[in-house]
Amino acid sequence: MSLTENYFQLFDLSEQYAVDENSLRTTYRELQRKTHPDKFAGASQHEQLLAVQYTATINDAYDVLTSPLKRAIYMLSLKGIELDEQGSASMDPAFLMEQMELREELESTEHAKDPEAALEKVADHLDAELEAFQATFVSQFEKGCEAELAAAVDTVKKMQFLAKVRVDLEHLEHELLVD
Amino acid sequence: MALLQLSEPGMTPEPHQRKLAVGIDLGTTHSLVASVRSGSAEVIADHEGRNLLPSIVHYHSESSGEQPVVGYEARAKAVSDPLNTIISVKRLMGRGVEDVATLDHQMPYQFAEHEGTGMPLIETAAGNVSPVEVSAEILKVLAARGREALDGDLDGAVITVPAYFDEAQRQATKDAAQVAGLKVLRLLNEPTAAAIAYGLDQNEEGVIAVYDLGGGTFDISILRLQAGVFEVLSTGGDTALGGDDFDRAIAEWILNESQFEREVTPHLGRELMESARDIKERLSDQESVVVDIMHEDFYWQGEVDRVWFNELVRPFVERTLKVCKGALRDAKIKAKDLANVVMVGGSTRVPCVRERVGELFNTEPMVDIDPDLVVATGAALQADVLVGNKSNDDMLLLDVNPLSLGIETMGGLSEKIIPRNVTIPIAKAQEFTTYKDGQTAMAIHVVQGERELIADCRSLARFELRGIPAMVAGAARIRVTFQVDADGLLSVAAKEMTTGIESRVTVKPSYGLEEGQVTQMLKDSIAHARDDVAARQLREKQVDAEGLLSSIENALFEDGGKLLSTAERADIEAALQRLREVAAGDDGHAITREIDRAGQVSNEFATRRMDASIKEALAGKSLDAVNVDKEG
Repeated sequence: MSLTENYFQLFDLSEQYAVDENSLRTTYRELQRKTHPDKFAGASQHEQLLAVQYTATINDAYDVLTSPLKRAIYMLSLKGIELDEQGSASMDPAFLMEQMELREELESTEHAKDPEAALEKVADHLDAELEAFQATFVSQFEKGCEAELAAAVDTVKKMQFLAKVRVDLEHLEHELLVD
Repeated sequence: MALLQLSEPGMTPEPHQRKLAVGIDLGTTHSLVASVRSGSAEVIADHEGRNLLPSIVHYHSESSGEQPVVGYEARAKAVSDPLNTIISVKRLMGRGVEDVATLDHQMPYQFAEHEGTGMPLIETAAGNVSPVEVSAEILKVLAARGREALDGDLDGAVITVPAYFDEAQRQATKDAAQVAGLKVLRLLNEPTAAAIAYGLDQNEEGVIAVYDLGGGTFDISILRLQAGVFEVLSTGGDTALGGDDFDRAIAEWILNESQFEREVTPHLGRELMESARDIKERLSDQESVVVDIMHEDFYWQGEVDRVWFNELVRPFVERTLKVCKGALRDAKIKAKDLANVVMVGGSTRVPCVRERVGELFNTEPMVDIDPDLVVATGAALQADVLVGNKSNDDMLLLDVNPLSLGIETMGGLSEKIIPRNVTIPIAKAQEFTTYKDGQTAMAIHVVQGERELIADCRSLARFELRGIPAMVAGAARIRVTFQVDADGLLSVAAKEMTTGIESRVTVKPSYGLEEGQVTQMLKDSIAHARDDVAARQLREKQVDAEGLLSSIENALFEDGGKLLSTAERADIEAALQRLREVAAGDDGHAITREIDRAGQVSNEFATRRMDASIKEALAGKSLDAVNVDKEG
């Protein structure tokens, strides 16, 4: 076992999209107990540095493995597929149209009678869509041929899109909370 | 050639000696030191039995040759000599001259600028002093208290900082400890320290909120406590909000009411602040108080009550509640899911603070622990573990990065690389490219904060990556890696991927001290104490050597047989022997050299141990799973 191995191996998981969050958390803590810099406060500088590196990697791995979007991107990268930033041009017009409507819906929540409930509705909508895309991603990824993987990349790009809307939504929610 | 001494295989290294470590709460208005003695953590009081040390430093005139005084003695000078009595220095830590200018109405001091660094210096009768040096004076007194109580030199200290302290403020605190001659085991976030003290004491499980309102800073942290794991889910705060602001509001109100037309001298200003603090404290127990202030030509008399006070401080309290709501949201926790709300910091004694917090979280806040002592107590518990006195197999602290870290991109925008509220230590990398054809250098500007515009974020550091081969715009691939360690401190590396050209900086904040300046301050401070610099440095090196020896010896004892070949083991043993020999002598350079060598020789061993322990962790887990299956 070492840091050069991939995140799934680091957490003793088989390389598949579905993860059991509870067992992931248990493993995460067991690993942390071994590598956390607090366990090396009296050790040599090299060991302290090593502890920081190992723990940082484990933290990042946990972050990636627990995030549906990051996990999908990571699985593609393990296949040698890196997502480029400028990819929206290839996205299908129907999806883009839907996104514009979603954004409009989001912006209109601020004038809604109960903005909090309105935001919640958009959030539910988003989460349902994200979940659907996750399922699509899994089936495309598992087929594994070139065409399906290309389709999986498209799916992930759509997920990225939705995730950005989700961030903006949370931002609005935050403003609503504190004002 | 001298024969090498080898310990018999299987024989334990020297019996473990108890190390001396303290936890220090370096607060805005007062500071404390605590230590674990005979199993429990206790705050160490002064000779008069007082736990708190007012965080106040008074400087005498240079010609008097007297040392600065700290604490109650300094506080007694606050009204008669306000300009040479430094109060609330924590508010200045890690701040630049421009920041300090905005504090002008709050602080009477004259500031000068430290040439080249932009760090503010406070003009005193004893000369210009930096906030770092003032804090170091407070730390020295606390360290001395610890040494006396524990009867020996301290092996290390855990120093607490507000969770919401930024990089510059953390680094300044660490520098102050170094100037005071303390070895910092860890910078620990104040609410996390409180959670340790509280959680271990109450054996609490579940999600708790720690509301920490001190003299000058406010923090809220949401933590999950489970089986010895203290996991911070989110943190928020304001490093310029605290009980000081309550006092100032009272003082300003009184000044306004008195219709005093003449100039407010620093003396009168201090007198009003002292009276205000007194009024605030009395109103915590009484419904109303009669006030009578006379100072030179100033006079005011009146009666004020709690309703008036609540109204006066309401804006401050409301500000803290907003931050609390944000932290709950970030943690994805609903107020009703909290097992408890722990109140920390002297300002939580104010009844309306307790009431409002109770309303927000819809629960009676936990106030039966002393809000002044709990942070230092938690720090002492952590120090005891880190220094190696207590097996830390059970306790695990997972803290977070309080503010997003990023770099400046085209158009003056901040590109976030490490978001806030991620568990530290963490490393994240992002690739950037060149903007112009033939561009051979890239300026990297590191910033901290949530806002999108660079102008709204705190500038942490600037450095340059040079020697990028000339390519067309967009062809170079520059990978910038941010690493935040367990103290919450950042280092940044930049690497051009096609050539491998690298540049690495430990972020020294824009208004911070250079390494050399810290060393110089340390020397000055020791010279002042008529200590022997060389002897002290030698002693420190010897302590480092002893630490390394015992750490590698233990490692050899535990895993040497499993993970090393005979030849590899002999190499390490030989290096240890050389280190042992020079450590017994007085050649500091030789000790440093042998420490480096022993470290290098054992690097591979350390890596193998780390990998083996990960394997063991995973194996242990599957073993548990097997057991569960059997039971089922």
